[in-house]
Amino acid sequence: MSQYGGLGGLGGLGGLGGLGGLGGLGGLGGLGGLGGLGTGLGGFLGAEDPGGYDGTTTTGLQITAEALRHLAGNAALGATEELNFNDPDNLGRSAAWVRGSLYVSDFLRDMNWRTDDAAKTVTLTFEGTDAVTLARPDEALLRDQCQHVLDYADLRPDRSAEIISQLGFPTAYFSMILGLHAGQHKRTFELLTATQVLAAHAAMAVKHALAVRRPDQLDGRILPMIPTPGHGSFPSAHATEAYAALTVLTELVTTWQSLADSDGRLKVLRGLAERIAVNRTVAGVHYPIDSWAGATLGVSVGRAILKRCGVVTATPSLSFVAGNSDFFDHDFKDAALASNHGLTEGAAFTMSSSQTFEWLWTEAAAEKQRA
Amino acid sequence: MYLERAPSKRIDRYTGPYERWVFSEELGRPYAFPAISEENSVYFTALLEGGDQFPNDPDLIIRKPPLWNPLNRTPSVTPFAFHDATTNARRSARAQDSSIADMLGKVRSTPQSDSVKPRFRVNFPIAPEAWSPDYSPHCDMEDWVVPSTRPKAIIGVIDDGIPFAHRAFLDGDGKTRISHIWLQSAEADTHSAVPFGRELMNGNINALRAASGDDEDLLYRMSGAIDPAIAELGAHLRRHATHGSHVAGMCAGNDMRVSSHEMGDDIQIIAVQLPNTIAWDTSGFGKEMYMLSALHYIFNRARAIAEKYSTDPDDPEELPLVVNFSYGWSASRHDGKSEMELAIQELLEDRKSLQPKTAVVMPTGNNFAHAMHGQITSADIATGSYAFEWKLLPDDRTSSYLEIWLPEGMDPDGYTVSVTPPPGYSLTAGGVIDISADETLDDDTDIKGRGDPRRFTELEMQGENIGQLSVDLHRGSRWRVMVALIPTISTRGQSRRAPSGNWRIEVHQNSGVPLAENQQINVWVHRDDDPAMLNTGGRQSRLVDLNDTENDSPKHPLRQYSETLGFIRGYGGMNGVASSPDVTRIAGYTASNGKVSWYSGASGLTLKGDGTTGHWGAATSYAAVSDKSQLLAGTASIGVRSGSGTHLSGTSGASPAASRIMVLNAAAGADFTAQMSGPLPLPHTETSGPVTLEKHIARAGTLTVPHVTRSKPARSVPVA
Repeated sequence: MSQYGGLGGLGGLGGLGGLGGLGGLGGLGGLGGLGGLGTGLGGFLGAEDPGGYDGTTTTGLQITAEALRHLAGNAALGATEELNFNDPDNLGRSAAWVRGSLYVSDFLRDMNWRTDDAAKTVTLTFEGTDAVTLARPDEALLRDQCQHVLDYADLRPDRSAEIISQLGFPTAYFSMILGLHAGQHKRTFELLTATQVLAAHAAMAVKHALAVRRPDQLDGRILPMIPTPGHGSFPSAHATEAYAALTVLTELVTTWQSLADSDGRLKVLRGLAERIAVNRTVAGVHYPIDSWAGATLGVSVGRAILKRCGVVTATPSLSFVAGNSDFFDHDFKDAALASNHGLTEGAAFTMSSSQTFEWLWTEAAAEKQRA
Repeated sequence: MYLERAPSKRIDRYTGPYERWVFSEELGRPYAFPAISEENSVYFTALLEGGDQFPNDPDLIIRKPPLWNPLNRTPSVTPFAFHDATTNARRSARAQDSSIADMLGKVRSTPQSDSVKPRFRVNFPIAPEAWSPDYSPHCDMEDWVVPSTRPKAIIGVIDDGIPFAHRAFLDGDGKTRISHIWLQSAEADTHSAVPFGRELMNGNINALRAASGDDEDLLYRMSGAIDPAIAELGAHLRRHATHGSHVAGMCAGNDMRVSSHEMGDDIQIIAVQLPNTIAWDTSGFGKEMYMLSALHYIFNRARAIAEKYSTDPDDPEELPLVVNFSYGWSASRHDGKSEMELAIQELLEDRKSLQPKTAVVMPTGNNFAHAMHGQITSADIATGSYAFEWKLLPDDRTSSYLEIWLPEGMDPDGYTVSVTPPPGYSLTAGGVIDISADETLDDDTDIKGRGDPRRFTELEMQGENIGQLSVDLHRGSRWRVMVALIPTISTRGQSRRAPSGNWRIEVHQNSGVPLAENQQINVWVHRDDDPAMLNTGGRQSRLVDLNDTENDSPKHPLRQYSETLGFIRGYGGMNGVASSPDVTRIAGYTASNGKVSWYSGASGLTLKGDGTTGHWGAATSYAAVSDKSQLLAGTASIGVRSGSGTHLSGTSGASPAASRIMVLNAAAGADFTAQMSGPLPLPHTETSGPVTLEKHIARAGTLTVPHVTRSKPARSVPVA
């Protein structure tokens, strides 16, 4: 009956329909596109994971194996070259999702946070040093902020395409500005995705502690145009991710030194970070002060990532106590102006480099645009 | 039912039907622009008619905006703003209508000679933040810098959301060509040469550009052009594009989207940004003061520029001036005798006597095909009455208005008009009105003879006002019957609503003198849509012909013209504020097929007894491209931020093409009509009958403006 065993396997064909789902596990395209997954591994989830073959192929392979194995003969095995032990060069051999997993665990092992329950503040730390302290906005301030959210609703028809396509990580928007291409900037995309994933993890940690209601739970006139996410409002994770990306990409473009008009592009990049943040207020899911807190957090996460990459950068700790401010990058980027809105700088935090991130940075830095 | 008020607090003793409707709480006020309906301003705009004598009451602060009147004419209409100084509160809690009545009462109580009997028309209020704390009408031009190229002509732009920092308006030296701009609703400066809002001169704009780097969003915030706290201004300039960006770019900008006819550095720009209120209430009420002030301002500042180049600053040689005014409404007299039209005509006549190259360019409007105009001939009403229907759509969240205009000079004695709600509904009070004056409104000797003869009634259902039916002898010369109805859905916290459906309107001759053969009664429905996406919730009402006579649209799918005219017709659906004889009226046509665009407004036509047609009203001047093709509606122009673009379909987008060509001609020393070709040819799909030819002229005018586009057009209009 054994000769029929293989045929019996063909019965598995019926299950092929379900295998369609594996397509999603496919190529690196997922790094840009799977943003909807938000945190966790983000675009890394399943990237370059081959999964399993379909039933027919599996059966075919087995039949072929049984037919051809005898040709390999029966000789004793020779010695095979070993991989280097704990060598970053091995990273390039891994599936993308494996590197993604390493980026997350390598970074998060030195990130922590603590709360001050009396002052209602949360402080994010790296290697035990204070990086960002955010004070919880009181409910009266949130009520004042609702008027800003209502004012911005006027722009919904203008910006709905942006808002909907930025529900996940807005990687396409960064690519547009910097001329990134999947074939040429594989590691740059990886660095960008890792940055956004880590920023999202940092945002979720502090959001959870601060526990701030979304605008639509304070003001029934907000009526958001997209589903309100299932986490706190303050700080905005979109602002955190966008400003972390801005921080890392600005350094990368500066390192490349290959774009003659990089000054202009970096201004556009700043404008994009601001716009991604503000679009969430237009949509009706964030107060302007969420963008302030998110941008603050994002810049710090971005700097921590750069430190992890071995890049020399200043790392002042930041502290934000919100007033009833609208959010403009013009005010945020200027330390003197920002202090009028409650953002102050303190002693620097530390973050050591790691071979994983140094490898990633070196790879991304080599992807500069060439003629 | 209109509530009892003390005589001095009755707004209807002083004003016309629109003021009574818009400012009275139990009538239409709850549905007006939020700044009117939700708050009480104590700063108002208004028009003075029939004189230039303003009262001298210490409690009443009256401001005239910068006016242009070098010939010292006594104008028919003067714009002004007023404020009751006894009210400290910036937004008063008093009932709006009685506080206006109080203020108007003060004006009336000022002794004046019997020969001067001025009339006042109250317009929309001014945001308190925009009222200049220290106004001096003299413009010292301190912030103005001499342009590197001496101006040969000036283009004026009056519109909403004007992106005055856009690169399209820079000259060859990178300095702005916008000489002056008046933001009528922006927060006032400490000292100002405009009575409300804010004025920027070229020096200010250049400084703003330098201070903001390349960040135009920052620039507009710094300059006060974006301010969500002022509803009349708002955050309009945060948008990708505005009506004003398209219009200003097309008539005055240099951009890849409008590059075929380059604007030289010898053309300076003077702009006025109107309040959002203008676009919010599309009925036409309440905007005249802002609009007329805008025209005066442009004329005034054009003269101030001329003075800078003149050896005799008291008598400068005025520069050629073209003002593009892409705005309008539908219902009005359409005979050039409304307040605005008289005022525009006087300005044009006076300035043309000093500088013949002076023009105000306006669109013919976009209501040709919306069943918003009807005409009742003497034959129609020969049986003693004529009935038609007025269709109100469900979920219309704004007031709807219909105006019936009797011919000038007609004695309406005996005539009545009746209004009947849709089947299934009935009025519990009101519904019929005599076309005659209510003498009780004029019983006070002090105000006797100072208002138009008028009569007001309310339309009621279950004791609640759902409408107003009024008559007035407009400006003492022409009877108007007006119907105003509240929204067809309960909105803005009000339980009352007007039934949607077909309202029957009937004009009854009764014992009145029949119409002469050459007399007609004209009907116009007001615009009630939301062109600027301001979330008004307006839905356009329209006329219904009970006799189902063939209207303008021929059955043939390719033809635009039939040989008949029914009660409802687009001919006469011209922009209701563009009938001054000297105004240039621009229709829109489609570039790809050379046909007049389906919506483009037309001048009036009447079908005579012998089957021929006669023109009436102001004629269409020229046609300009308003659509690239039937599939690609609109024309391209700039968006708000430098580098961005937009498409806009409508005659508002055709008018600036004509303005651009005209001002370029003027700067080159040529006639305004140079570069224009003959009339738009009759499309080959039409059969050439006498009525068809008349219709074509009424729609397309006498000349065709070249396409203002990205590059020189490869081909001209197809020849029939």
